[in-house]
Amino acid sequence: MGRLPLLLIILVLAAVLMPSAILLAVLMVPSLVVYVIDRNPHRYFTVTISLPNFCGVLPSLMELWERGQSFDGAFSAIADPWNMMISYGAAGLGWILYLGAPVFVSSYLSISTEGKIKSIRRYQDDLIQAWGEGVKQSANIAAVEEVEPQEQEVN
Amino acid sequence: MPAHIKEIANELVHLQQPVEFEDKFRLLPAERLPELQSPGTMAIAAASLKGNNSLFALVCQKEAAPRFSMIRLMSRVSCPVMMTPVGSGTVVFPDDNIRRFVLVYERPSGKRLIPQVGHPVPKMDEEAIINGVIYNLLPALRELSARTLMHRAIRPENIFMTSDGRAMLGECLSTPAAYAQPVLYEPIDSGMASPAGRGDGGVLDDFYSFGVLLAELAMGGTLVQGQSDEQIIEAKIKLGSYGALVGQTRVPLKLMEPLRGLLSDDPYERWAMQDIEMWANGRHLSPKQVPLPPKAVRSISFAGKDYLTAPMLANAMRLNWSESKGLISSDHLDSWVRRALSNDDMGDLIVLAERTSHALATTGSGDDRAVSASIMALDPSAPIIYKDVAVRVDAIAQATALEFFEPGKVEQFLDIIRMKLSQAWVTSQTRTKPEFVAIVKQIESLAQNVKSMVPGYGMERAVYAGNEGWPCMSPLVGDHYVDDVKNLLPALESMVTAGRIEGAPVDRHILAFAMNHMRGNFDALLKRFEDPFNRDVYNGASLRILSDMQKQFGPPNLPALSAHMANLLIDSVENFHNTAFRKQLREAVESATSEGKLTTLQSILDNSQIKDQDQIGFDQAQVIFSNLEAQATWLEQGGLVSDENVRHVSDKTSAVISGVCSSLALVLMTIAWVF
Repeated sequence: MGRLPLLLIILVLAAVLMPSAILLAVLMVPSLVVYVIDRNPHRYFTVTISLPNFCGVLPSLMELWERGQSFDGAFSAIADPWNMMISYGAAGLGWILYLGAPVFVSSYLSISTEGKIKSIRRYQDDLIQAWGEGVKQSANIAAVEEVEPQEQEVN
Repeated sequence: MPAHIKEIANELVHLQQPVEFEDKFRLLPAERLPELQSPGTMAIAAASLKGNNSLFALVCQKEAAPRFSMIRLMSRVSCPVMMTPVGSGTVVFPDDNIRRFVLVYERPSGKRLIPQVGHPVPKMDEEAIINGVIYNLLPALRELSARTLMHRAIRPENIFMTSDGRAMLGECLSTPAAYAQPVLYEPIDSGMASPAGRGDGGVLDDFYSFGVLLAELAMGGTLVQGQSDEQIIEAKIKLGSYGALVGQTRVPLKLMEPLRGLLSDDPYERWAMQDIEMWANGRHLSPKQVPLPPKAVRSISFAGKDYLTAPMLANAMRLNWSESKGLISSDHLDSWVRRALSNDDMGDLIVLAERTSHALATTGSGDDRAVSASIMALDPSAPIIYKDVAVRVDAIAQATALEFFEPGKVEQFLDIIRMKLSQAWVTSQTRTKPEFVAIVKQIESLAQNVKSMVPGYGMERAVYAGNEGWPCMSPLVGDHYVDDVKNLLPALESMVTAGRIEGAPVDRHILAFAMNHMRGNFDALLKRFEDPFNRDVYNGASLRILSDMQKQFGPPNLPALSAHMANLLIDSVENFHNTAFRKQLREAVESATSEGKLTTLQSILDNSQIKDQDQIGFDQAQVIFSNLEAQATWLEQGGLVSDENVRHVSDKTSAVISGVCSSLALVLMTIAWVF
């Protein structure tokens, strides 16, 4: 589905469910901000923030629906700082997760690097054993070819 | 014995143990019979297993191999006054394990007319010659003539005389046709040819020899005593054979007619069987005198001598080749032929010969061909003469075989074939003969064989294709007489066992010999033999041809040859990249070697399919290794923990964690809302 039909559907829904739309628009501001600033084509950052943000909005949205979808209900929910705190707090948790992940990922990757190198070297040894030292030949040539342009760049 | 025939009796003194032959005869090499020995053979006693002890065997040599095709035909002849073989074939002598060709005959009654060549022939009176020799040998000549078989060994030391004066023809099969004949006993053209180049000829050649024999018996001593072969030929050309041999000597009147008839130099006028029988029956014929060659009004000076007739000049040109080139290039010969001999046709032929020779001389020199063609024009009855070679047109294949290892001879025979001198000889003949059709066919077949000089073809192939039953002349088979391809591998096995083969047991002779006998098209395989210095390819191809031979002809086990080939090709196993496969191959080679199976060995060592598989696997392994190396280098250079990669992985990880946690929260809220 193209973007335009999706936008039209959202606009129709927003028009029909205007109080809910107003509530969502206000309480999901963090997600909108992230959507605007996220340049990654996969939009991992947006996903990380918007999913907890939506979970935070969901209780107040449910309450609005229980009260009958009125503009008063929507505005009172928006005015309730508790609702604001929950939805923005949930978005904040997502943000913390996004900012803290590299620390753990970096540690994990540096631990696994050594293991991976060992495993590759073991596989290479198996290849040499099966096919002889000659199997290294093209790798050496490739290595020399790789080194030469680097030296030129340095010069 | 003629000097050109190798003496083998002394070389074979070590043969002592009896051996059974063809399940019919028992050969007794310890018991020598020198009085029954033919030139180039060794005569030993033999006995049939049925109890006939009056047999003897001739052990033949491979350098001057016996007349294979004639043996088959002669074996069918039963004539009490001519020795015909009762058995023939190859047999392995246990003393040295070498295969030799043997001919078995009944022992002749009587003694040789003369013990050996050169001894004076005893003079016999007219009646003894007519009754004891002519009448007695008539049945033999009749058999030969009726079956168109050529004896080509009628000479005094090959005639056996009984005590009561009855003659018997000796054997004629142990050496090539006319190979041991003295020049005196050969017609002029055959005498001009080298002993190797005389060939089977025709039955009339035997009648000529018979005529010379009668003349010698009638006059006693040796005719033209003290003269060299060249002097004899010159005298025969100059005076005619009858004039040169008999001359002014008084011969018994009754014998004058047959002598004139038999010694006629014109084969069309020479007495044949019918004429002798008519004479023997009392009808006296007067043989036509063959006119001597026309004399020129003035002589031509050549090589320090003056010549008056064209055949005399042709004979002198044969003996003075380099001077002949000068004579052809000058105008003297042409003007002498046209003016002094008044023979414009001959002059035209000489001019034509000179003009066409340069165009046709693709391998040799045009001058040499011009001399050869000019000799044909001067004396059409002479054999083909080219440099050192003098050969009858039907004996080129035989001469090539006999003179193959003489320096420079093979090249000259190749020139003769490629420069179409045989065709030129046939064209130069003034009278056509029915035999020419077969001769032209034979020439074409020879030319076909030398069209390609790839191993397996060339002059070697011409030898085996042109001489039925000729033994393989490869030095790799040593002294083994291999005339049947079935015996080739056992001979090589024996040579390898004796440690007499170091390199590949295949050479041009073995290839040509095998190709002449094997079924199938091997042209692609033969190309692999083109570069003998590319040992791996050559050895692999050798193994292939040997294994094909084993498949077609056996024997099933050749352990020494298999081990030898495995040794030569074991390096190719080491060229395989895969170590496990290499080990497997080594074990397979060992197993095939111990079993003596060349076919199994070939499927391992000369198998392009498994080589290709190994190479493909190796190439793939190299690519994998190269990729792994790149990965390892990237990891070692911190590619995995780089900021960019960490950020990328973190983004994904946080999105996933966020998704999972949100889903859980959603589920919990739903549960709480419901309940």
